[in-house]
Amino acid sequence: MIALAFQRASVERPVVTVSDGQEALEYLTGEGPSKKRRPGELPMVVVLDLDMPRMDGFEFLQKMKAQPELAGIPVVVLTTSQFDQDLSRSYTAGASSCITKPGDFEQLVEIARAIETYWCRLNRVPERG
Amino acid sequence: MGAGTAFQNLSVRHKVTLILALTMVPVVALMILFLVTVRQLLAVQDEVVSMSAAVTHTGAILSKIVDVQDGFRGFVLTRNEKFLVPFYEADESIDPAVHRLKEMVGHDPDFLSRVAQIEAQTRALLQKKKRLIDAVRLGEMEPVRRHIESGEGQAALNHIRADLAAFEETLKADLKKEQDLAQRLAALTLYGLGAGFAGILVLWWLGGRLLARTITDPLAMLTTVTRQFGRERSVAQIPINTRDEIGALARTMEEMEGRIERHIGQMEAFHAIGNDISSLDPGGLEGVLKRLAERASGVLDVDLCLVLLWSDTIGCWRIGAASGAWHDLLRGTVMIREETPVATKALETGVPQVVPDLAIRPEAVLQIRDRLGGKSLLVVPLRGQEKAFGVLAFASTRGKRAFTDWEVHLAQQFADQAAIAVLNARLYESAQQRGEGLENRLQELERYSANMAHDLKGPARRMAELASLLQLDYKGRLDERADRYLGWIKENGQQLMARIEEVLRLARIGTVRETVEPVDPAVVIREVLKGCEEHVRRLGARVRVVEQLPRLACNRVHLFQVLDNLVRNALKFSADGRPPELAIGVVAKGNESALFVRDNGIGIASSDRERIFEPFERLGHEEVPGTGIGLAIVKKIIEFYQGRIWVESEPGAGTTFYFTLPLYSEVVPVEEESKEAEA
Repeated sequence: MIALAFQRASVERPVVTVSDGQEALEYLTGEGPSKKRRPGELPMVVVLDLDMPRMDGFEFLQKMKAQPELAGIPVVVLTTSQFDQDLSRSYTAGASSCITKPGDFEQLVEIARAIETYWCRLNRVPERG
Repeated sequence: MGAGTAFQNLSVRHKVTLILALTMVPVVALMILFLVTVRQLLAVQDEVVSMSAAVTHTGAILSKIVDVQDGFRGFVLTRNEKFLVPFYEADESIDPAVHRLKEMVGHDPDFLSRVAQIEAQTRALLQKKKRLIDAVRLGEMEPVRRHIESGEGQAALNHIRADLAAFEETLKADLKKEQDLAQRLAALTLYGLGAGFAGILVLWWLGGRLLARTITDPLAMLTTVTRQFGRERSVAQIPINTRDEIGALARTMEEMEGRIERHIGQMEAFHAIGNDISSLDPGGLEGVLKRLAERASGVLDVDLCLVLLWSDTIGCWRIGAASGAWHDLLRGTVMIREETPVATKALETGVPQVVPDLAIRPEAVLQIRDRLGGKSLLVVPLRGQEKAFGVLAFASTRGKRAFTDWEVHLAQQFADQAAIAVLNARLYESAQQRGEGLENRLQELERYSANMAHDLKGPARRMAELASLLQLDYKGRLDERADRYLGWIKENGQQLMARIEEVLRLARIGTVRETVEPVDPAVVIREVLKGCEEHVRRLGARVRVVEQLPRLACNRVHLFQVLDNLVRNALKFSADGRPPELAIGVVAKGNESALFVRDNGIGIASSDRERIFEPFERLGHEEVPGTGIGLAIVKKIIEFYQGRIWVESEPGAGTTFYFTLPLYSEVVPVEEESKEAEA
């Protein structure tokens, strides 16, 4: 759904979608069989849905932040509720931002646009060596 | 040494008699000696007195004889009768005088013969003189003249005088001798007495010492040892080895102290077990039983103590605990009923069983004899409320031994303690298990509902999102009905999401510790009103807030949730065609201050005033938007702070919600239900 929202938001940057935590990690490390990324090209931001099969969002976040070359990538977490413990756990695990999923597609599109604007245009990260 | 030992072995009575005899015999002997001496001294003294009287008498007799001579001469010369007066007087007194003398010296035959001789001479002389006097009276002078001329009279007289004088000398010498004897005797008596007394004193001292050594000192020692035992409870060997009554007393006391010590030990053991039982430690029942077996085997001086618990389910004995190293070997193992007949009998009869010699019945397999090497056995039942549920078995492995009634009694005491421990522990464990079970189930349910809510939210959201996507993409391409349906799907999905969100919010209250701080309700009310500013303006509502509100001690967000819910609620349920009027203030109710939120809305029927605080109770106002969980959240927050919330309402005229939260400790003027609020 969020991928669709990015599409609708007319984000021109390439958006890569993976279906679970395992695949995401393999993509980022470049080890996996699927979705080869070009070497030296890492995403500007990772949008993470906590509800994923195989490897859940927290496990992915911990493994990703444990790798020095990936730890610097900002992660925006999409949570279901603002009242469960997901929020605090996400920030503890190294999330840069948390957003509650709205339950309205139009709002979701706005969120996708906002993520693109903020994390890809305004946010600054150190130059990768 | 031989005599000393013989003396030591005498009884106290004999010892005392012997010592008394030893000290009294010399005293009596001395007294007898003294009496004899005194008697002799008295006899000598008598002698001396009669001797000196005899001496005096002899002198008197001599002077009378001279008187006779003088009287005779005077008469012969003058023929005057007057001169004869002393003569006759002398004549008359000589006889008694001689007789007296004889008496005085009568004890000595020598003296007596000499006196008799003198008496005879004197009589002869006097006879002669009397004859001559008679002749003179007749005028015959011739015999007188011849007598005088012959000097016969003179000679006789002289002879008598010489004899008397010699006798007197003899007497005097004798007297002197007697006096010397008397003196010697007196001196002897004096020194003898002194020495005797000294000797007696020494003897008495020795006797006293002996008495002290044999009687007083041991008694004093017994006293000291007894006192020491009373004070320090140190059982000492009493160093009195005699075979008399005191020695026996010492042995008895040693035995008694030993017994007292043992009994105190037993009491301490029971006390410790009692403490042990009343404070169930992490070691639990097994630890308590093990310590009990340990103590019981020590107190009863047996090699092995087993706590056997009967298991009805398997019909066998389970070993609950054992003393010493046996514990780790035997704990939890099982004994067959057929191989433990003594224990089984104790269990069934509820009566202690004593088997002094397990060697009897060699044909049967006896677990305690054949596997554990028991030679003697004592088994006492662990008595429950209705029947025995186990036994305490005491076995001696070193040798056969009997068990006294007292030991059986003690063993039963231990068994009773063990029974209490087992029953306590079973009660405790079952209660705890039940409690833990409930707690676990509750927690499980809470987790389950939270998870369920969480899991439900995803699909609800996706449903709403997909509906809105469809609306976006296919608006105008479907007919009007389809558009409406899509709108409903989206709304319902969002509603579902909101409700689940509220459920999670409700579940969260009380599970996470929030910071409690002093909160000014006025500030929070301003935030709340700012949040629904738009709403208030649209409805044309008027809100009045009392200026001074007491500060509360709670979490700021909690107070916000409470007031936000109540204010939105008040705005929501406004009566048709009437702009809502809200009043927020404080009122003193009893001894507490309650904040209130009042509206002029539709009101709540009295039958519904409790139900409104239940989750999802909407009281049929389907046209009013909301999740139906707001008041449940409010109530849960208030109750979390142990406050109260209640509602007063008049259907059609308005509703007032009152709630209490802990007041922050400070002095604040609390206004009575203000006029502004009344208005």
